[in-house]
Amino acid sequence: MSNAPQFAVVGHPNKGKSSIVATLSLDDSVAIARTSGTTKQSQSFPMKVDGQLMYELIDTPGFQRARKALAWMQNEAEKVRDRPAVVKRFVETWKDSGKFIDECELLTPIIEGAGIIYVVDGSRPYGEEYEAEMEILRWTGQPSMALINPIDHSEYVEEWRTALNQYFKITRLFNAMTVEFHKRIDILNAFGQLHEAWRQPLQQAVNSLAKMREQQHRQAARIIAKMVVEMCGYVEEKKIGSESNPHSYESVMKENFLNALRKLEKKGRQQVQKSYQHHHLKSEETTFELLGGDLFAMKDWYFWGLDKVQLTAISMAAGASAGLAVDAVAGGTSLLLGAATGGFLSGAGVWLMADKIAKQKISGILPLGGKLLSFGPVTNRNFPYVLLGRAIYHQKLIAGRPHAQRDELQLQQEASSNWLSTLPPEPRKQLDKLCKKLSNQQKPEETQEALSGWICQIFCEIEENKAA
Amino acid sequence: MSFSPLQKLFQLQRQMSRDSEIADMELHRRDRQIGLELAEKRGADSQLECWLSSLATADDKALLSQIESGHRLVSFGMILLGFLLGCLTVAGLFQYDGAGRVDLVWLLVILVVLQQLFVLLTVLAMLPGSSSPQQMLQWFSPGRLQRLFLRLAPETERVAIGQLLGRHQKIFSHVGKWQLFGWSQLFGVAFNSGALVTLFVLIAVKDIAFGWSTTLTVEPQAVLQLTNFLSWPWQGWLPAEVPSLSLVEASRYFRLQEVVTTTLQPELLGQWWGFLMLCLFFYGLLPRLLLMFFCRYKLRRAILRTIHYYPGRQALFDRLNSAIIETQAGGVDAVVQEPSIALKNLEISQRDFSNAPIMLINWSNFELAEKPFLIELQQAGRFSIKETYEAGTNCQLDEDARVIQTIAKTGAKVPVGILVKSWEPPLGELADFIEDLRAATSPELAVRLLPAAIKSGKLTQPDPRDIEEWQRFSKNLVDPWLSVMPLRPGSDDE
Repeated sequence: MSNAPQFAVVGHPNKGKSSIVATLSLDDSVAIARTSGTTKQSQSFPMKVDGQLMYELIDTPGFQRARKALAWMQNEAEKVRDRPAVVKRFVETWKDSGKFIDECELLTPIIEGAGIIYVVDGSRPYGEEYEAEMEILRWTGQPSMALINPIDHSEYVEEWRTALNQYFKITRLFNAMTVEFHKRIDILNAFGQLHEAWRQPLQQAVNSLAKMREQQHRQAARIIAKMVVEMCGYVEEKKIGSESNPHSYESVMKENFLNALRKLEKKGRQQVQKSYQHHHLKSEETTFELLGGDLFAMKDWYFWGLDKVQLTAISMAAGASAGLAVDAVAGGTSLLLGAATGGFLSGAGVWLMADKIAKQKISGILPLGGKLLSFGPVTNRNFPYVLLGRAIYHQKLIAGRPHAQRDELQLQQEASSNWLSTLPPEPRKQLDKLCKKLSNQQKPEETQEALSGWICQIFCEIEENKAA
Repeated sequence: MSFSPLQKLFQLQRQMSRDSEIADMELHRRDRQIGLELAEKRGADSQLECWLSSLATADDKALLSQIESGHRLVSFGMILLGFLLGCLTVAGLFQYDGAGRVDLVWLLVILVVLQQLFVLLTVLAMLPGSSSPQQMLQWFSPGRLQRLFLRLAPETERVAIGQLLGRHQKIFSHVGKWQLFGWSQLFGVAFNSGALVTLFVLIAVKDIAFGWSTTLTVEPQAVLQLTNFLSWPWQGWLPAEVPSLSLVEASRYFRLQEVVTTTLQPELLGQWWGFLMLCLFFYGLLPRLLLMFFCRYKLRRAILRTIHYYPGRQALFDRLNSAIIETQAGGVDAVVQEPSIALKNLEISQRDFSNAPIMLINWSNFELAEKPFLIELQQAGRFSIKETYEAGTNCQLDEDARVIQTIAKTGAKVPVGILVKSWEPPLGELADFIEDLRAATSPELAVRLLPAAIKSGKLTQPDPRDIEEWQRFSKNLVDPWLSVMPLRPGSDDE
């Protein structure tokens, strides 16, 4: 048998044991329901690094007859030192009898050496009926800690803490539905404090999980960068006859073009979800409509990207620098008129075209006759900002979503200010450069790699800020 | 196995295409295994090469060598065709029967001016971007003759080379562009080499007289200026090969050649060969050689760049260098236990006690000593409490048994209400108690579960989800005389 620590997650039925296991094991397939007794049999969740077992979480059914079981044990034990042996005898006696099925199932890993993670619901009041099960757990003599899982609210947390402190050395608050990644890591570290021999494997496990998290961020960043580059360069093409009127195709092509972009965004989101091991989020939950409306709802573009004034300012700066080149050629005789004119013309152009997505073009006469119509790529300078804003917000929700959550992904615009305004100056400058390259379709491969690095840096900073 | 850059790119494309069919986890397992064996290989390139090498099958290896041979076949074809064409062109231009003269103007137009024009167009086509004129120029590139040679190659090689030329995938477009230009320059080098060799042979075996003639009024001084201009690359170190005014004047001829032949010095007319060979070298061969090396450099860079930015490459390094972390229940698909009773079938008992007396078993450990609370309970349940018993929760088991015995002794004619905490899930212990009670009394004794929620000693509305839980429990016990009646504050007013 392996020496890796085992932890049996035990408690009253329907107090969120499976939710805690789902969150700690990053497994969104764990059966979780409000119905009590969802878990009928113990289920093991081994944490392995390159095949080497680091620790094992065991989800167990809840106590059903704790009072009766304790009465049996009290009857059997004469001395305090006999208690662990009595618990063991209890399991051996009743294991295949059809009675005490749940108690035998949950006590088996504990008498085999597993640590105890006792779970209670902090949103329900403490009751004396819990004392029998806590007493049984104390009788096992195994290292133990209690987790208060406030399923609906935290009203009774302190009441529980007072009661639990009498039975357990360590008591922690752990909301399986909202907990951040770093808090999951903290809990694993706390498991290590239960027993000296468990500290090292748990530390190793924690380090590996932190590395896995970084890898997930890198993967998500790559997916988003690829998606953004693809979307920014996407062109819808159609061959038509020489006699056909190109304008009659405009609306159909535009619709196809927009749908193709929506599909690309949806595909990217699904891949991001997968990279954070959220395999069971329903497809309806990932549609763009949920993310503050349609991708092409122009009113939202100013929320996700730059507003009209910022867009104009960026374009004026670009126009002015082009104008400066003219001034340089003129050797100063133009009195910086080139810069001023360039800036004004670019700014005015962007102001007027700020709500225009893309244009239709007729690319030319085909070798075998007919014309090639093309729609796209998106020429609006705001598009890369909008895509990135939406993608980063989606990633933030997914990366922070515990695997115990089963409700729909709520993708709504945050009430806070525009995400761009929260960026420090240097990353913002880098972003502006990258977005310019994206808009101009410059060296897409290099831009994709640089963008991926930039996004990953942002993800890591968000994570660090949360931990801080 | 080591790969040339071309082979590496092709094998990468082949492997990535195969991997797209494999599940992520399976890929990670396979690549991590390779990654652990490559622990000492730090550089990305060497890791990539080892990875490709360890996954290459016998078929891959055969195909990679076919690619190399296909590539060589095309290159050889280009050299051969270019050389032959160069030979034929010069042979054609030097058609000399010993009586007339070889026209220098034609030679310079074809071997210098035309070649320079082609070099200029090639450079234009090579410029970054893919405008329509550039694409049109590429259509005339001799590199496109590769199709001709590939016809001689087997199908697999044809497909593979086609792939490298970007015929199927956009990612290969840069490689394809420089590959075509590279072959074109090879053709150009071969052409000029053929031309030079033929020129040398012709000069060696024939006594050729060169001359120049034009309908326009061009003075020998103007021609001299032109030849001096053309001789600029070698005039410093090979002054003998720079045509002199006397040579230019002597070489001029008119259609009515008798007019000038009087002043002709025949030995002078052959002296042009050095100038011509140097022209062909500096304005034909050398630019093509330079362009060929440039294209090779660009092709190599394009291949390395394509490998560097190949989609999925970074993910591959992650798989090679990141441990496989498994945290989920291996191999067991979680099965959500469906409740045995569908929620829609659950109905809350509408029958109340109509203020009849009941025996109340306090399974909730609620404090019933307070009279107002007792009154509130009775109003909520529309019953009157005949007797109260304490059982369950923190009572001893024999107390539960005593309660059952007491109720049994009364003849079990009065309905029994079991007061429970609505928010706590029903447990097996309560099921056992009801079973024992039923066994000790009558199968027709009315037993009602009374879930109640309290806060600060007063009844509050129980959570409907908790009530559903109690109803499910009641149905699961399959007891027709057992029902659930939640106690709601103020229900007597309804």
